[in-house]
Amino acid sequence: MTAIVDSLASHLGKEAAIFFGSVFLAALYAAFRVIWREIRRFGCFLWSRHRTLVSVARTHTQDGPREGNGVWVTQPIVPPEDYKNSFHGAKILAISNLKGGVGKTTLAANIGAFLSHDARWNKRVLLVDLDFQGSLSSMALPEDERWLPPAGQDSLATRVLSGDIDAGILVSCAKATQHEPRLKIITAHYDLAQADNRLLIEWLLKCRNQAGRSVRKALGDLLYGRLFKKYDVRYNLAAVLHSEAVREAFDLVIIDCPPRLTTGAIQALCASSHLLIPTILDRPSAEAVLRFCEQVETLKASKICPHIKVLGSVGSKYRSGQLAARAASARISDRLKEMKVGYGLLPEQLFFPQTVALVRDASEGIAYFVMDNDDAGRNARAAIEGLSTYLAQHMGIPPDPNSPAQTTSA
Amino acid sequence: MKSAAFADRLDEAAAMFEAAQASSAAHALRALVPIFKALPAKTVADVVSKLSTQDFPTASFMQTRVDTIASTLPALDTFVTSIASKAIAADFVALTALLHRHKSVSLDQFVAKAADVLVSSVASKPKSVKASKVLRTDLIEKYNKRLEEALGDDPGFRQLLAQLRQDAEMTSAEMTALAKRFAFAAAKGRDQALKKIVSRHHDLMISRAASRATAGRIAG
Repeated sequence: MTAIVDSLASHLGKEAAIFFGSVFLAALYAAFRVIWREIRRFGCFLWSRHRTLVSVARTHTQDGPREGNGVWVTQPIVPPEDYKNSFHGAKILAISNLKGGVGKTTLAANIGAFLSHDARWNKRVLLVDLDFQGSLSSMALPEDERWLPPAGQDSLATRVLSGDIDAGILVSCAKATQHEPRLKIITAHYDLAQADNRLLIEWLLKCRNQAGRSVRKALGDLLYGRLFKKYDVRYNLAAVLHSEAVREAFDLVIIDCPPRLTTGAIQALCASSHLLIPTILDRPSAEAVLRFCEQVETLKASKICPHIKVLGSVGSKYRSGQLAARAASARISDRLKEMKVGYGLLPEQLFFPQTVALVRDASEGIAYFVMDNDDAGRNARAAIEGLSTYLAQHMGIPPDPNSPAQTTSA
Repeated sequence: MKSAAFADRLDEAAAMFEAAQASSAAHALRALVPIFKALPAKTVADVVSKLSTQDFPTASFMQTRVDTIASTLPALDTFVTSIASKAIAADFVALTALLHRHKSVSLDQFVAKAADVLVSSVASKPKSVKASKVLRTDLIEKYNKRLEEALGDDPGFRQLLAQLRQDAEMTSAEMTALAKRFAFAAAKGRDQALKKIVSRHHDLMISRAASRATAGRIAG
């Protein structure tokens, strides 16, 4: 090296030798950086590939290969800091069932409507639509197409699940529903279907696109030493909904889950403090409830969402006196009792009735707001009130102290 | 023609015979009225059909026999055929034939037994017996409790079911009530009730098997 420098110095002069030497070193460093980056990428690729394949790999048993335990129980589990404590006082209700058409959206919308609109409660409620079909969104904002994302852009739900927006922005972006300003909603659209897949693959391959990361957030992460913290897609929603900003802005969050264990559904289970499982009381739906309860118990046992409290299963589209419904109830109760999970079917008087009043005017908005005041409407409202009150009491949500009823009783 | 209306017509005919000083014929006709009042809602054809299979004791020497009417009716029959509808005439013909077959029977005994036969034919209907039978709720409750206890215990439940199947004391109605109580299912008959009772236990077994098949795996 010294000989090269001496040779250059003798031919070009000392200054030129220093200049070309510096350029050479810089080029060498740049080349090293590129090579190192590629080596890291390759290593990462091998590790990610391995991790992804392990997550979905079949296991080998004496009877031959069998499918693995599922991607959502992939280790390591990296919940947000202070995850356990963040549940203290959290009022986040997930309404979920892996079977479709059991009344999840109707329940979510009407419970939210009652608790936000009824003078005895006056709660600030945030609805989170995690079903890409956007049924809850269109029900809450029936005459306002502005909830739809602009052409080529993503819906609010996609951005929240992706971790692209923080709690403050979420609070300001939540749209007030048409009939009640205290009831707000995070809307979803079809882009959420792609987001569900993308987030899962990015997480497994550990190649999360950081383009959307703001400088402020990057600096914050650097300052708090979180820059190299492992990323776990399962807790994106929890990180936002457990934040102070959301707690201050809303008394209750209700999540309408999709009928599959998508990324959104898993994030909902990890973020929620309580779970309600609606079901139709027929034979196939009863079996679906039991399978879902097992899935939830497996997730809890795997420490994915250990803090979620299952309130129970509630009958929907219910007609009292039907023997088939009672047989389905027995089927659910028998097995849940055997599983010793500590929950079962909610009392029969809380079941949502089969009534046209709840679905007749769905195109005009949430049934609770737009139902006629006829017998069917009054019965449906009474059912909504009964179930909402029960849930509020079991979630520890107090009535509004300033409501006329509370003032009178005081 | 309904029996009640036919009885009225017989009564009217008897009154006509009385007015014509034919008191024995009037008496004989009036004697038949209780037969047709026994089943007022049934048709004359039904009543005649029910009585046609019955045997009646032959009259003793001093008793009035059925043929005292059997000789009166053909004349009345001819008169009725000429003025009444074909249906009424057919009823008269059927009655005449019946009486002719039993012409040697005591009239009083014929009427008494015929009325008895008709009344008891309604009372002995199986439907009515079922309705009047009281379900033994204590027995149903006892079995329900044992079934609830055995639910999920496959050998125990099957043993109890075999016992239940062989229990002759349990009537079909009680078995149906037990199916409704235990399995919340409506059943028609004993076999179907047993099937429904098994179905609740079977559902639990299927659910367990489904659970084992899932083997703690997540649907995603």
